[in-house]
Amino acid sequence: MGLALLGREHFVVLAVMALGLALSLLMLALTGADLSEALPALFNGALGDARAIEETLSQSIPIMFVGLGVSIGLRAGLFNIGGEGQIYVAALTAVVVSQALPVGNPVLAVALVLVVGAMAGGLWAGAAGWMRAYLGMNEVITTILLNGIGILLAGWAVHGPVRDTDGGGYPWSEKIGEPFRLPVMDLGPITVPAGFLLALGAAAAVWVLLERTVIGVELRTLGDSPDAAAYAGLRVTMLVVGAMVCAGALAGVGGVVELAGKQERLSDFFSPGYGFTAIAVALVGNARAGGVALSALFFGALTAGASSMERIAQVPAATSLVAQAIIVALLVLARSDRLQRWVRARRQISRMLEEQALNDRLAADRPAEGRVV
Amino acid sequence: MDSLIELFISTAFVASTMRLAVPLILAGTGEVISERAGILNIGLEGMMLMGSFTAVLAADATGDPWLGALAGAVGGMAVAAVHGGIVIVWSGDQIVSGLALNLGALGLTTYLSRRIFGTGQSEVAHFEPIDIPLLSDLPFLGPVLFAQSPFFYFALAAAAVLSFVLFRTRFGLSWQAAGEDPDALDSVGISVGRTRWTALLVCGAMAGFGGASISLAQLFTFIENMTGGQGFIALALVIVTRWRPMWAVGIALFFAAADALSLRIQALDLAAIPFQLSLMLPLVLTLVVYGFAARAGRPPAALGRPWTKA
Repeated sequence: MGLALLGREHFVVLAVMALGLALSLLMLALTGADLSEALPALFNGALGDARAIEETLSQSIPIMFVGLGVSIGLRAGLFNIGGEGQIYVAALTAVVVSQALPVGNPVLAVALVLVVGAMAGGLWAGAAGWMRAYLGMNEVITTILLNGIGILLAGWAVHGPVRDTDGGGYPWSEKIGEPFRLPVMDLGPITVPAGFLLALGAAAAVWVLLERTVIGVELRTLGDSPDAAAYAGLRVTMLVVGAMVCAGALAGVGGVVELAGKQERLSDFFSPGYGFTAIAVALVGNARAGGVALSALFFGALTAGASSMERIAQVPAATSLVAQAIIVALLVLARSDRLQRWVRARRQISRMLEEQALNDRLAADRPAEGRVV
Repeated sequence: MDSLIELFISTAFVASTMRLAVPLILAGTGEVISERAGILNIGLEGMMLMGSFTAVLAADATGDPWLGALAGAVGGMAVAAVHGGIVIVWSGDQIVSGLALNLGALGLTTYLSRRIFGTGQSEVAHFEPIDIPLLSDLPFLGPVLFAQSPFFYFALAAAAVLSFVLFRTRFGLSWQAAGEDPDALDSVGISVGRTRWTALLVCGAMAGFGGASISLAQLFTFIENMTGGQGFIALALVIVTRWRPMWAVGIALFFAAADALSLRIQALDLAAIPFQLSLMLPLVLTLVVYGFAARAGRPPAALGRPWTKA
């Protein structure tokens, strides 16, 4: 049985996702959307045919990268809400570097933009880590402010210095040079963007980092018990900055992959909130690399489906934001202390009930002796 | 340089600083109350946005901006109530709940505004500045202080009243106790949950008013994501105030001056300063001020911690 592979935690997450989707559809129905049109559009847009599946994969790439970054933060007890800014800053750096250094070799060129993107994203998030570690500033607030600054920086660049003057009037950068682009792999029935394989590779790397290295143990100790981390002599400040740098580097790579593998131009509307969706991705994935990869696929499908719903059934795609919010909120409920104690109490009660039933059965097997029927 | 000094003391600039400070004062004082009682509201932005939306909805339906403002408060309180359900009743994580509420408010208001208003936006019944007789004729002070929207006067009054309640009444002391030492509050027989609920709902109403002040007194309509991060600036502001409502007025004015300057730079269309860079000014300033203030104050001891009766 495949189901035996799933633990209780998995069932909780699956139930939350199903309930979240159901509540979102209920909202659509209550506000007068035609579900008989919307539902097939949602499904077909996400998984209906080869093209839909390709769109789902493509949508899942950036949120997988950023979600992995968010997860590293979460495991270390940090909230990196700055994925959006890290994406923009990294993509901008990649655009500038690709224009400044016209490398001809495709492997070198792609490696170059990925590395500078990782560095830019890492610096942007590392700044928030530094502010947290050394100034005591809440990283939730600093990363949100840095989002605004990073997005405006990219906005300024695409309206000014890196604007494509032959860009059909749009404020966007020139297409990134041919050697810098990521290929699309033809796998018979469907094509898979190379970026998707990179994202899976990143998931594997994050798994190794968190579960199989000393640094991973240190980061997790910090997240589980900061006191224990300090007592063990770990350098907490370094770990905080390091976790944020890793998180930002992953988000940065995600931004560059989106640029080099899909959009090819940087613009004001480069990221439709990948940085925020990634938070839902990380939480649903329980901040585990494998879980994040799967949950990125789920949210990729949701995004692909929602935009097809907007095209075909005229249901605003903002529905997918609502679904994300409901799922995250339900997840908080499902994981709250109270519910956990509740579940423990419920388990105790059901065990007591089982014992009671067993005793009753044993008693019933004996000859009835003064028993009131 | 002279022109810069002239700008800072110009009536139009100071008046616009006052106007832009209003949403920050409202949301900021609300958040001070909530954090004092131990509830962190990362969802402040979402409460403001929902307030902007419900205010426009009601003002459009009734033609009465006052009912609109009231509906804004109710919208903010509704989002606060969801937060309360998650974090007070269910002891859920306050940060994640707040993030979900921001996402949800953005999605819901965008979705509903497309369904209800479509893409064409029109002006709804809104607030014009109220000229206070005689005082508004004063030079400089008149247009700056006495010709503002009703929200301006309300914001100042609310900050003063909430400050009084927080520091000088039994009720306010129990808010403080709920954020400092909920066990102590409980031991004297006052419900921690109920105390936190009132603080949270006050915060929701204030944030909702703040959102309404943007839609009904600044832009006269609803635009997707129209609060544009002001809720986050208000969150940083609360730390800078060191959790004192009256300080929110001063700090909000300071941040709003950066906003006004940024608008002024855009209006002047200075080729040397692109508008994106001028928009960065308030964000960078917030970050710097926050950096200096981050360790100056001490947050309420039980801030962000769920409390359940032992």
